[in-house]
Amino acid sequence: MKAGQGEGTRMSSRRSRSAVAPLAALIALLAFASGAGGAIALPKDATLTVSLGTEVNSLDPYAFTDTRTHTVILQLFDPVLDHSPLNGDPIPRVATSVQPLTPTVWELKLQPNARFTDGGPIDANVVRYSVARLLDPRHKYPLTPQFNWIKAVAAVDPHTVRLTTTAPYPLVRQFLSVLSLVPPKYIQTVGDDQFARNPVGNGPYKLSSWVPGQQLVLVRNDEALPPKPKVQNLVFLPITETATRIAGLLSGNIDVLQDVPPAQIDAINQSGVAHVFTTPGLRADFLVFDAFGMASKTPLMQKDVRLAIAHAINVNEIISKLLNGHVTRTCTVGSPLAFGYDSKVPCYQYDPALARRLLAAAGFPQGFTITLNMFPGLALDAPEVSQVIQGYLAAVGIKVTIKQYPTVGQFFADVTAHKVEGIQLVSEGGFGLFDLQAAYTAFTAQDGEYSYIGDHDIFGWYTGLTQTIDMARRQQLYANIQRRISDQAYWFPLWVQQVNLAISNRARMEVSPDDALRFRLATWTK
Amino acid sequence: MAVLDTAPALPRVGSWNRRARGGGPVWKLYASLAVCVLLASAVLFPGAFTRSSPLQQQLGDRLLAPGWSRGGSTVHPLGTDALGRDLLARVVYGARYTPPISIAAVAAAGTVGTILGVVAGYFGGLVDLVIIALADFMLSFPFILTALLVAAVLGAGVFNLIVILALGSWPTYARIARAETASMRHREFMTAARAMGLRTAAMLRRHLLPNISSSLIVIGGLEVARLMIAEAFLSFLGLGVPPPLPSWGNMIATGRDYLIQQPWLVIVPGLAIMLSATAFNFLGDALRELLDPRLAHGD
Amino acid sequence: MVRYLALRIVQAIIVAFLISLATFFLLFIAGNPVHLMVGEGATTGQIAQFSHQLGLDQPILSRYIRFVAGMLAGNFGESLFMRGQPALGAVLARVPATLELAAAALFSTLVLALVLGIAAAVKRSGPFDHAVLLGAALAQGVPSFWFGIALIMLFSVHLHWLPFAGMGTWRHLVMPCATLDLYLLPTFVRLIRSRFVDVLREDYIRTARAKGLGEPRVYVRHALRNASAPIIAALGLQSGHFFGGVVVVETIFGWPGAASLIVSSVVQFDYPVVQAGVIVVALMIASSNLLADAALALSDPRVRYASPE
Repeated sequence: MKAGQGEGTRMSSRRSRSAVAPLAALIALLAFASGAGGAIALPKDATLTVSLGTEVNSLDPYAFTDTRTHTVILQLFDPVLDHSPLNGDPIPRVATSVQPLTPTVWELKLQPNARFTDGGPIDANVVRYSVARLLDPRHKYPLTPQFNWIKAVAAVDPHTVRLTTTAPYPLVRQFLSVLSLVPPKYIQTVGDDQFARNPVGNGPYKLSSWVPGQQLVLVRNDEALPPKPKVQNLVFLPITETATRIAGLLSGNIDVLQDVPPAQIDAINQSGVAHVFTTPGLRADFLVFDAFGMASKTPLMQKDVRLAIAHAINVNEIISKLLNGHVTRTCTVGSPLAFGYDSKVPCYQYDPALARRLLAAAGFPQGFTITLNMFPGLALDAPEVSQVIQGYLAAVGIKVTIKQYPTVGQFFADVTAHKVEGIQLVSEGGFGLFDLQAAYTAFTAQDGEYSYIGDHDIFGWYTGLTQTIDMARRQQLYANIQRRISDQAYWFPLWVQQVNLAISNRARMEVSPDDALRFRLATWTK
Repeated sequence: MAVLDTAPALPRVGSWNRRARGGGPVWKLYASLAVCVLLASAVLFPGAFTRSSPLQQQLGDRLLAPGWSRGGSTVHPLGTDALGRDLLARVVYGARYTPPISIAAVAAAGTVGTILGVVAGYFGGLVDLVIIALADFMLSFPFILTALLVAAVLGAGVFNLIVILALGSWPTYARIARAETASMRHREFMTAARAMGLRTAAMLRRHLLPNISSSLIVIGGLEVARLMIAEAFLSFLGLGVPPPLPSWGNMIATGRDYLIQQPWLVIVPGLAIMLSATAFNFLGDALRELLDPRLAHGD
Repeated sequence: MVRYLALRIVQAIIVAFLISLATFFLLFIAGNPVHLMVGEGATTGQIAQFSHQLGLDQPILSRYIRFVAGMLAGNFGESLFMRGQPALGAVLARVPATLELAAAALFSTLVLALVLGIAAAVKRSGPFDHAVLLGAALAQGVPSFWFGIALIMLFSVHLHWLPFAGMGTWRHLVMPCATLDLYLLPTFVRLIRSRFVDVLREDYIRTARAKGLGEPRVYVRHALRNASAPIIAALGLQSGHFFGGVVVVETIFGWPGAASLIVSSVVQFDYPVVQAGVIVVALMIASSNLLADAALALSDPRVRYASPE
């Protein structure tokens, strides 16, 4: 053995040991330096813990981009108008009445006594300020485009507001039920960013504390408009993993949970800890056919091919066997609870023999290959439903390739760019407004973001129903559109989803079709 | 005795018929080969294992429990999935996708990574810096982004799946090969080989490679297992084997939604992965002991 | 030595820059967040209008130049979804949580792996060795998310011993740490064992034994030094694969770390946060690799002077 090598090894072994030791010490130090403090202890019998399923990013009521964050906003801010959870009829809230003076001018009468939690009054000036803030493009609020039907807002007297629309607009009251009012003085004092983190509102609850990513705590606002909430504290936990949230429910750590996967409903009902309540909702799932060849030349451009597909899918069996009856079949796209839904449109009958004949007549006796595009989580159980549809179409000779998009953003981007070929499995919720207009804007309007329709009659009917406040006329135009779509089989309606609400047996709260959580109405069972 | 044993002459690559002498029990090799044979026969003769089709949907028989538990039946010995397809059949046919995909990705990544690592460790300097930068780049780039990129540009599919998996794992081999090469570069046998006038490439291949192969083979075995799970991760994103084809990875991905009530949907393909992973690990072990030149001296 | 480290630091910066470049163009190709933000019932006009407001319809090159200018000043812009929060600040605020989880897991894994790996190598081919190898192989095949949920069901739902999710006390750390350990242990244990098996055969070990040094000193001084090279390389290496494991654990346990923030931002195409996050992660990985390389160079003088012969 060379002497030099031995010397070298002994010296470097000392050095290497000294390299490893501090490294290990550093790691140990980091490991045991604990992070943020623990949860605030609140009395359990006065507190409901809610699992949202997403993270709340901002408490600015104009900045939300998903409905779950809107849940929190709804507790902090009362909107101008409320709406009935069952059918969307307007209910007075900050505004006691909203009436059209002319087709383009609306008058709002406000409550005399409404206040923000900092004591500031809620009057016509506040309404004017709020609308101006919402419409200001410098803020880049996602909600801004939805309100561009507002032309002007004027304060007639402290409790009367006049709203002018750019054209007759049928959804004024619906959108006023999404419009929260914000306190001008407070925002001007602390600025927008601070307002988003520590808001002042007029809702049934006010912010107590917020550690982003960990928990959000609200406490009852005793100055809010009646009815006064029975539940004193609300804690929102931002856990996204479904299995973890259900585990939390079963272990008693979570009291309220939405979006329960249908497969887990029975397990929760049998647990003795919580119960799942369901009701038909506003979200409809359906297939869109590239009937006008906007993405590519496709057999779907022939009406008989589309009808063949419509008759080849056994929707009733999918509903009863795959989804265990947790959805309601619809024969036209939309929710029966929404205004505009035409219940007289007939369903397509399941008839594979007819499907084959139609295919042969269209020139495809051997079938053809087509793509079914989807994103999991859009339609209910989309991956399974896609595969079942694949099976039904295979039985009549149509070979389906399923294309699953990795992100919903990519899916929507491709849809808007008309790059999605073949069939799409999609879903629409009508913006939660009990009116089909939002959905049909996106899917039938000539410039709708998801529209693959090229039928000019439909464009005309759509334009008509969005620019009048005559409800009877709108119902007629909606019916025209739906019947045309059904005759031509531009779409294939599947069903309306149920909304579900899992709630601990300690409390009780109604589940509502618009999937909004109205904690001001929640009660304790004991 | 000590003097004779200290400085080995140019080591030779061990040969197969020395396995009886080298350390390590032979049963590990046989056991892992047996599992490989099992897998190969599942690939080639799936009908021998199951009479059901992996694609046959039976909506009336959804989510049946495995045969031995309450409510199960012998028609579907391992139960059924969310669409009523026989789970045993899907696991058997899944052997055509998951193991070959992982092996292919490991082979590709291992080859590329080892070559780059050896070059980096041997030549050092600028070459080393560039290769390490590339490896660091690949390592620091979140895998999910790599996956989305390749999918956005190349589209989904089995081949692209292999590309994604290989892209994400070659730095592992590169760094280990580099570390070992750098360590070995100045060893006596390397100096001797250079003195003998061997060309660099030949020297690296015949003398360096066998000496660094043990760690690489062990890592390779583990990587096959890791890539099988990575395939499940990609399946969550829709980048795995496309439905309705069964791969163990996409079975785990879809089974995730039924985890609490029907855990066998994840456990069964998970067990398949575990069994195969163990077999590949043991195979790696056995290969290492076979090829380790130091064992050729018998001690 | 100093020159070597300086070179590696420069290299780390270059890597981080390249990553930001690749991420920028990748995100551009892969998609945009506008659809997710505008909500249902929008027209293409509204989408275009909103895109314009966010500056997303500008030519890619000018956007990139503005981005680089901002990045050099430490400004990654505001998060698109988290209103009013600077992107870099949002990521950095959650880094300590990830570090805590990562450090705890690394430390516990290292300790366990050293104990198991060295013991297995010493008692090579014995029943303990076989048990360890079998255990490592089996553990490798267990999906992390299944293990995590199983832990939650057992220790939280059934036994009520541990909190089911979130961060706060040491109790909240137990299950996430255990889940991450399961993910890391197989690689570590097998690598350590394999390296120690090799090293224990080495001639200088036999020489040391022949010199009459007692067994423990043989292992610790000589074996550890020589086994450390690939082990330290593997330690640095793990930070890359680590990310995937950390993301899963953070998601399952609702652990408010940076990894899950970055992944959810990728899915939503929250560009500024993704950019900031990717740079932060890249720098963290690069520095851990750097530490590993430095330790490697320190422990093995033959590596230090990397130059061709």
